[in-house]
Amino acid sequence: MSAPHTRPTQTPPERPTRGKRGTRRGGGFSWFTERYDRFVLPAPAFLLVVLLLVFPVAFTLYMSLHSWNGGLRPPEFVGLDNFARTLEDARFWGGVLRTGYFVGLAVGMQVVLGVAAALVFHRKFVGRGAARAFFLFPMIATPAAIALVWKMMFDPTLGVLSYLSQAVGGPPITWTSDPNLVIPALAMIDTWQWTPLVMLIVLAGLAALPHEPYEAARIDGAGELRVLFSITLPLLRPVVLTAAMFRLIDCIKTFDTIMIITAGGPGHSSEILNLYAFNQNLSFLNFGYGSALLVWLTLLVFGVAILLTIARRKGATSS
Amino acid sequence: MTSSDQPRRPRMRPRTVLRMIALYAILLILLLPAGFVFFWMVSSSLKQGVDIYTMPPKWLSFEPTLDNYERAFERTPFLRYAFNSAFIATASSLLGLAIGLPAAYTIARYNQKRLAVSLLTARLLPAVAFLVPFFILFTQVGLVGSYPALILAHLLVTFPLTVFIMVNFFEAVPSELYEAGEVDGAGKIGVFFRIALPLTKTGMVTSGILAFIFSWNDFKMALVLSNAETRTLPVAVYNFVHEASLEWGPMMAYATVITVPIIVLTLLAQKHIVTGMTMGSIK
Repeated sequence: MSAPHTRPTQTPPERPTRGKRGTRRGGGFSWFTERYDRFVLPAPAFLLVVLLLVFPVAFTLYMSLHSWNGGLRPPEFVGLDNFARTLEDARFWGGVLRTGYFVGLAVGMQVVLGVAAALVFHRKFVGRGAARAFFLFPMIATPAAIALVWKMMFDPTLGVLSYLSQAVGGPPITWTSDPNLVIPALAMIDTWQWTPLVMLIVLAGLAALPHEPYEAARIDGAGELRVLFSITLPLLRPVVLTAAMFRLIDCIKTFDTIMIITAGGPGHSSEILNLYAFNQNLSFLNFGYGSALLVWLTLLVFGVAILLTIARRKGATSS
Repeated sequence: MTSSDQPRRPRMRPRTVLRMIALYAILLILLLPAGFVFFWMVSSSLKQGVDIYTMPPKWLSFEPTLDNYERAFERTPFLRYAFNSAFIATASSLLGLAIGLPAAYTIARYNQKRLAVSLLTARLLPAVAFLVPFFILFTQVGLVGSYPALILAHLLVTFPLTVFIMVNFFEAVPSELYEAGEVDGAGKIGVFFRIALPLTKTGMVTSGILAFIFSWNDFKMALVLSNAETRTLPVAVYNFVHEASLEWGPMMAYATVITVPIIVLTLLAQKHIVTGMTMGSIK
């Protein structure tokens, strides 16, 4: 990976001289780039944002007001019909509820486990570096590949999880084919994958905690549990909120794992809103109706992000 | 065990030992899930067909074979897909850096909140809400399945990540250094190239590595926008699911081969991944 940093640094020889001359002679294009460097430098990024964000959002809004199935006939304007239809669509509401269920379960589990893991990795012990690298593996490993391993482990006939459970006298574990257990199973897999991220964020928070409260506690002779619950956890609250916020937002958008393991099944019992929107658009080619679903999905993500940002600010000012 | 215990150490010994044991026991529980999934993937990939389906499972007492790898590579143009994955990940990481670095620099230096927020918004947009319009657009102009289409899509993964990581690194440079550069006549653009960039090489490596990993791992962009020629590894392995007979052996061989480069990268660049993932999230 030496390429990324060699490339930009190779450019300097030409550009700076141009800039230097520009400031001295005070004319031409280089004068412009010097005067407005704060707009010139991020200009490509700005264009990319227009392309990656403004265009898709505008297009989705436009398409959500039309009916179109990708054929030769041009999209037909239908006003807010698509949105009205979503409100009567049981599969849409099911998707919304399942999204909430999945996200709440997954983020709840990974935040608790992530904080616990961070408290462990914050201690000094022999082999910490290697153990941490190992612990990060689920977050870095290719989700599509890992999803297939889970799919195999949950398999009704050759699933190793079922075997292990039955070996200790438990029931067969075929959660991914059980409509009532498929969401908890997927939430567990998401927790497996993303607890390391929560751990990393909280670990950084732990490293930045002030020393004074701990010294005071030691002088007072407070026990370790007492210190954990009265000092460490309250001080960590903003960091934990940050971690939870990032996980909440990304968890709503979970796609790979669910698509590969269950494809939304059995029936629709693991079809979260993201997958339903994907299916309406790219499986059924209902681009108008599908775009209305995408508008809801995007609003959901942005809404959660805005609410969490406000909550975080309030938390920051009150404490 | 911890440095703060040292003065009292002689009296605490038995408890310290117990606590050490407890710590490593907890650690084992924490590492077991990751270890087991990884073990199951690799061991299944080395088993013969019959052994995969045997219950109780043959944990270690099986004849390891590379048959699954051979079959997986025979049936699909593996090298082609590996090239696609590596090429798209490299191109989108480099482009993400080229476009993201100057923006991250001005955000850090001039405190450009609005630009930062608009980039954050791009980070929030669900990939599906991006994919559908682009799928339609690329279909109209005949770009579906092309490398440019895939690289552009992967920029949605690599570019915001690069900016969020790099803002931290540019902010960490004392502003006096930037100002001194301007006074010395480097020019404002010159300060970026000759002062900001050389001082943030670590950051570029960090964001480059992470951008590469997340692009390499991405599944949905290529699922929608690639064709048989430009398919990436995650989509190739997913396609095994659709075959008439589910062949877990070759599938696990594929999964192993996709994951191993990433694991090697994690081990080699653990520090970069730790700082990068932390920074990319906290901003």
